[in-house]
Amino acid sequence: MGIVSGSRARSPWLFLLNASSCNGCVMEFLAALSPRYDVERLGCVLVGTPRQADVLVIVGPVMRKMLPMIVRTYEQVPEPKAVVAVGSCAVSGGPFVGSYAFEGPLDDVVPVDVYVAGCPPKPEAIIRGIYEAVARKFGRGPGGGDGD
Amino acid sequence: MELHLATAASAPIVLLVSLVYEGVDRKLRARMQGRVGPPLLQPFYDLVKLFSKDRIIPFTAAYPLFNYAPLLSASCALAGGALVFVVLVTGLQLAGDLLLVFYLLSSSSLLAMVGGASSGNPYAAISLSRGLSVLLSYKLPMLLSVLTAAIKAGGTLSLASVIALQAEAGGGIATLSLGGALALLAFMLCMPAEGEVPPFDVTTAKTEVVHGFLIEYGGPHLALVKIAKGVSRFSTALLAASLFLYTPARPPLAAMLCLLEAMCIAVLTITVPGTVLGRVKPSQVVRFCLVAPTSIAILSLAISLLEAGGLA
Amino acid sequence: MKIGVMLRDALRRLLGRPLTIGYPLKPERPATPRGYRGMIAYDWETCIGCMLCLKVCPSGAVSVADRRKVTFDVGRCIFCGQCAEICPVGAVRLTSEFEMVAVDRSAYRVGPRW
Repeated sequence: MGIVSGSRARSPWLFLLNASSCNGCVMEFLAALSPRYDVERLGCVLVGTPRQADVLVIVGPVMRKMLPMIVRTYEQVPEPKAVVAVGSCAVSGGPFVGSYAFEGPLDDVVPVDVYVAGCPPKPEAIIRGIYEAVARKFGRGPGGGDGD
Repeated sequence: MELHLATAASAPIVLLVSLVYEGVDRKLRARMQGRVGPPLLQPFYDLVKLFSKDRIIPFTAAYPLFNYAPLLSASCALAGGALVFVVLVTGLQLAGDLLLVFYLLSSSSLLAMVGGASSGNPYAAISLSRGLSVLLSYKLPMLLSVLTAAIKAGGTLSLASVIALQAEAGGGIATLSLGGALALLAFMLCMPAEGEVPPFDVTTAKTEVVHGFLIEYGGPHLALVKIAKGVSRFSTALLAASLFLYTPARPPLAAMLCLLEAMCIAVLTITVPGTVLGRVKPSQVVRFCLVAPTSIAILSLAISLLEAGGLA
Repeated sequence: MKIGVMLRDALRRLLGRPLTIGYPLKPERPATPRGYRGMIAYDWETCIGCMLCLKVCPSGAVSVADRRKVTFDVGRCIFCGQCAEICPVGAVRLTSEFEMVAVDRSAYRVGPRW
């Protein structure tokens, strides 16, 4: 295990992209940052700009208005990067499938590494999803463990 | 020539110590919020990761400035910190090195801000205008309190003579005289503004200006700016420790004690306010810095001038 | 003084035990609250193929499978629990399993297995 890949796995910075979500998943994601779940213990920091991010957490269905923004945000995250689709809407579209503004599930738009289903998923599930994405993309899980 | 070599050799030490302080800072902050917090080595992981990431340069950016300002900023901060450290260890007499350290640390934060603002992002421009007014308002009382220490040491602007005075007197300026204690207080009141932590983090506030001038920086650029910020934070604390709280001891021990005191000062003035206080408005930062620390610094200057007159 | 209160609280937290649970690193799994609606469990042998769940599902997560059975797509489900409520033979259940993490969306399909 090299120093570089070890460091990558130990400091996955998160950027939350809200692709027309109802904010349920956003609330649960923010709960994952709270003292009870504390993702900073895994080295995760919530950053406000995609340029500083390593893991792109996308919530909500892909709607026509947000489509170019999602693609652009994904392109602005510097390599190496991982994408986590959080919530049923991001995974498949959920109840919005068939809407005139719906542009297909998220993995039609950007490559997704890990899906987290739930409406909304529990903060534990979101943390597990980030963990799996980091373990798959950067070679090992964050925070000392090496996956399951 | 020897000074150059010594400064270059001690720059990694200063970098290492300031990264250790950052780890302690993040851990303490997390524990004060009831969290477990990241491991102590987290700043090292962050730096290695950032250096290994891709570089993205926005096409609106003024390329040379955007690209090289972080490097210059980091080297200015490292040179300033290393200079304080070298004088602390060797006791080298350098005329005006206090001003040089001040100049280096100010240009470090200035370069980081200008580099960020040259990205063409409007948030970075807002952050630059805020940062400049904050910089001007807290550098004034800081410089005044440093002048107090210089007057105590007989009116020379060299760090070594201030240290020599304290070694002779058997204790730090702040512990021996009222003027020195007030000067230290004024210096410490400016530290949150220097370290860009709450309540004075108006330049890089995530929820107000989206990281401010850091908004377009990522990867190696961000790593360099982070180094500049961490090192200038810690070197300011080190400067305060060596100017006001130098404890006479044998050479290696005295420097170690100063590093420890700098760590304590940084925890008191950066970690604790950063955890327990909320952010204020930019105008309030300027008003606070120009009223409270400035008046305390002027008072301490007057007292030490009187004391110096009484002695002579 | 508000600052005094905050300082006291911060100091108390600093000296006390952290509130964080050890979840992803330690094997302990946090308990789910009572009535939590998680992963769907489908007992396809009990299912009589009345297709009521398909009619009642608001997000269209239920689809028809072979031999008058149904398939649930958990990735599309909004966990309202109406399918479990309306099922006349109790073949659909929402368990307390919350960790629905997958690298492939086909892992979300819960259907008959023959």
